[in-house]
Amino acid sequence: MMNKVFEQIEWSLLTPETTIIAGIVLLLLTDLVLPASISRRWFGFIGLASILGSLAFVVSQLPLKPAEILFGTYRLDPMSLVFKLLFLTATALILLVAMDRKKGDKTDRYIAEEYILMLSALLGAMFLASSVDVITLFIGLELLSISSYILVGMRKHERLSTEAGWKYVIYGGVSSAFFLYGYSFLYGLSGTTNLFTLGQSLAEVVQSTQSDLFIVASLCLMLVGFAFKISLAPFHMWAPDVYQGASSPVASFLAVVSKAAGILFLIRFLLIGMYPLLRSEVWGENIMWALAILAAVSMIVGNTVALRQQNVKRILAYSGIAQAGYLFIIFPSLQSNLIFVSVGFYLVVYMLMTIGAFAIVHVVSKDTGNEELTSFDGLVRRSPGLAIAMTLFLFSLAGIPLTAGFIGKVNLSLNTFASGQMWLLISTLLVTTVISYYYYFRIVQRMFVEKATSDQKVPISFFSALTILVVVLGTIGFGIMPDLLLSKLETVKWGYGLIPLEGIQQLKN
Amino acid sequence: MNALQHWLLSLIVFAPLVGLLILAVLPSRKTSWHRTIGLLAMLPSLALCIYLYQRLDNGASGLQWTQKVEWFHIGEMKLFYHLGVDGLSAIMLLLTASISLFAGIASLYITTKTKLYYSLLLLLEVGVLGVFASQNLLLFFLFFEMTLVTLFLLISGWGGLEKKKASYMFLLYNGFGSAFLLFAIVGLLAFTSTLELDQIKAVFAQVDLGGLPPEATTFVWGIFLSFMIAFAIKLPVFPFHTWMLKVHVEAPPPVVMIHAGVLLKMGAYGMIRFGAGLFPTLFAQIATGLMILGLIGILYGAVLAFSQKELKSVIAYSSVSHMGILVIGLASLTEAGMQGAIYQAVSHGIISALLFFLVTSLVERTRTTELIELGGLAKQLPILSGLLMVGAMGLLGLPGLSGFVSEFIAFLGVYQVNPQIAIIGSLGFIIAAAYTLRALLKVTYGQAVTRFQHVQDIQVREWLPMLLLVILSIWMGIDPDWIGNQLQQTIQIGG
Repeated sequence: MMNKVFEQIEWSLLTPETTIIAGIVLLLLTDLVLPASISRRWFGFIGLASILGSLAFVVSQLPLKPAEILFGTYRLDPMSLVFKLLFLTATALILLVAMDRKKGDKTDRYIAEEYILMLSALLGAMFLASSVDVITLFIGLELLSISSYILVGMRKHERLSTEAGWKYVIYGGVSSAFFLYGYSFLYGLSGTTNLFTLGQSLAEVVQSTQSDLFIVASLCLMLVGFAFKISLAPFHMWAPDVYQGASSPVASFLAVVSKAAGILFLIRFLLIGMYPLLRSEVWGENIMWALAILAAVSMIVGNTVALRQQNVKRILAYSGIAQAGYLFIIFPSLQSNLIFVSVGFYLVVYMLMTIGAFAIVHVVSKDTGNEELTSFDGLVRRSPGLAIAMTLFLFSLAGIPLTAGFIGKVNLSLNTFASGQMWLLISTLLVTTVISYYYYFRIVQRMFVEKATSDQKVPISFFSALTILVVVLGTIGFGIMPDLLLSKLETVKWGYGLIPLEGIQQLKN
Repeated sequence: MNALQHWLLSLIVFAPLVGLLILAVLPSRKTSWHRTIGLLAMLPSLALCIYLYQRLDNGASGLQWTQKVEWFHIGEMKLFYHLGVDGLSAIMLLLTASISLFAGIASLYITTKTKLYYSLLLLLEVGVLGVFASQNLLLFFLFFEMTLVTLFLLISGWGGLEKKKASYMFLLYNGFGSAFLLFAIVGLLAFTSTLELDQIKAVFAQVDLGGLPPEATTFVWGIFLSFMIAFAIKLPVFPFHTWMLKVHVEAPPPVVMIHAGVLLKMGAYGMIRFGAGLFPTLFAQIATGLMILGLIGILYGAVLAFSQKELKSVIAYSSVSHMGILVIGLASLTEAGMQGAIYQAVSHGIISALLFFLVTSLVERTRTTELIELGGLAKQLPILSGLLMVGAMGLLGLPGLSGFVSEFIAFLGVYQVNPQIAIIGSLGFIIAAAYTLRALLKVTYGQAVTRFQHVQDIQVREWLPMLLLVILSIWMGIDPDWIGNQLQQTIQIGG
């Protein structure tokens, strides 16, 4: 019986994930067998190879007909593929930066663990991308989270890192608890963990009873959990401490992959499991405003608190909170289909500029030994290329034209405008953007105006340079020719990610 | 010829970038090379601007020398790379290209980080040229922001003692201006589905603004006011002027030549193009209010200029006052007022460039611009003092110089619609004479200061470009038609 079930499942759909698992196993075994005296720095290549292999499999799946396996819990649709591409590309770039290490780095002892955990976190995110069942979604999220907790605490010799690891575990645990508690109400109402079935039974509940209190309350509890993951204010406290304590590559992993995974989770949950709510009055009266407030508070808190920071990683953490807020201005008008292109575009852009900025922080702090603002003094005379690239990323984060960040912001606010509401949110976005100029330009000013502490070039490895080059090209390229990405995203059939398989088949006929 | 038709404006706008590329590969120690390349890179734009200005068909309505290429699209909305000029754009382009060159020449005394300095100066020029040539709002915004970023770096890198404060003040004020501008642009895009200036104009020409539902009316008003606030900050209209004083005083004087000479005029240009041009009926409704703000600016600037203790501050406050004249001219919505406002933009550009060129040379010799420490310079520096006197005469509006023509015509326009404001505003002339002469006398006459005994007078490479500016001003003062002819079409359409 069991065998038959196993044979019926199309395992080939899982090839991207299996490749990553193979990479993890290979790394574990090699680390076990290899004598301790041999350097493990080249392990990164194994990780990279498995990511690239996985990327190749995802690309090969691209002209795809949506499919489900494992009893409807695992799903392959355009939305999951796009997000997998994003996760894989981001992790590959981050891994390249992580391979740029100082001689005699104290963390070299745990280097294998670092790569393994990065891969397993990636695996979690990929599983999450393909899940439409709360159980698998949650498992994916926890695999991602638990791996990240360890990654953050990896620099055991540093007090800040250990502290950050602890904070992250506790905050993360609490946020998971909020999510599960909230979901338990919905489970009580619907008796299912499948998002599609959940949606159907909620539709009945919304129709038959007048009171949606349970649903709203549970959604609000779950929103707390999501907001933690995406680091939306006022649930953002962990982010600056954790980013500061973690190594720069890990911090950028959290900022990009973890955040994007949280957003994907939220989109799926709201648009599949909660879709009856979108049409009911409760949405317009309560939930829309809750989302709007999260967005506004994040923009305001992120951008104002960043003004007083002296540590570049903390600045980037607060900037990331604000960026999440920008992205969220479109969520209150979720009904419209425009949001996927906007959100997708912004996530790609955000990935590029964030990875770029953290990569440069990594390279520079490796040389100066700290991540304070002062370590960027006069960078333009030490390494003009790095300074110009960093300026570009900061401009993109600030939304200055000719960078991808500008197009992303315009696109987001345009589509929010088009939905007719929430012009107040757009104003908040614009005003806080101006405030953000102050701290982004402060870094630029340090690099271009202040006197350099030394004349030496900042040493940089080939792989970091490659990463930075790639993201620079992306940031400028999508800023000048946004069509390259926009037109691709427009052809993606996002809707297929939101309707059950039978529905898609009916659509085709 | 046909290819030139299409590419001329792009060439004008982007020609300085060639210099940027050459600068990038030069070693950072070769200061004089940077200077030569920087100046040479500004020449093609100027030459092409003169060519364009001469070939401009001043009888034709609509745009000339256009280039329109599809750039990208958001959903159904297409965005274009669209350059084009009419008389107003052409005169502003010419002004920009020449003032930039003069500023480049005046940058003689910038000796630190010259490679970066000239790169930024060229980028600034590209930005300003682009602003005046853009016919697509997104493109306009893009160039607008380019000037913001480069000027910020120029101030914070080469400014005076309080350069940090000045640069952030500039950044935040103008950043808010840009935010308003972007809000208006995105709103327009959502409302009209296009950012092409001519198409938006066509859309609004068809819409009866009075007949719209109340929500849409609020929306259109919101867009219009956002535009006006954005450009009022740039111009600056009282009460948004504080940042501009700081920049005048703290930024390196050659950069102030561009700032006072051209950048402030982007505000006037924007008001004409997007305020009065796109929303003539709404503009008419706020015109009186705008005129009163302009009047306050004239008197406030003039009175405060009289009480300043420092030369650069005197010029800064006089700029507030002169921009006030520009504003009331615009807001009069008469042909004469509009023409006077544009004349004032050009004339003030020339005169303030001349004055800050003089300030550059003066600071280099005396190391101070405090009026109390200066005095009797006419003896040691006869050429400089003479030119300073001409500049001052231009500032107070002496007939024969450009300032007189522009202010006279602007007030003529105001008088037609609102004699009271014209009469009160004319008080500005009297105070202008008072503050200019006061400053001039303190600097050039009186007891010679002993510590400046060995100061050398300015050399040919300084006074020759200054003299050119003086000639420009006189030419415009005697024969303003070389600007006026090109403007007829714009004024009729805009007004």
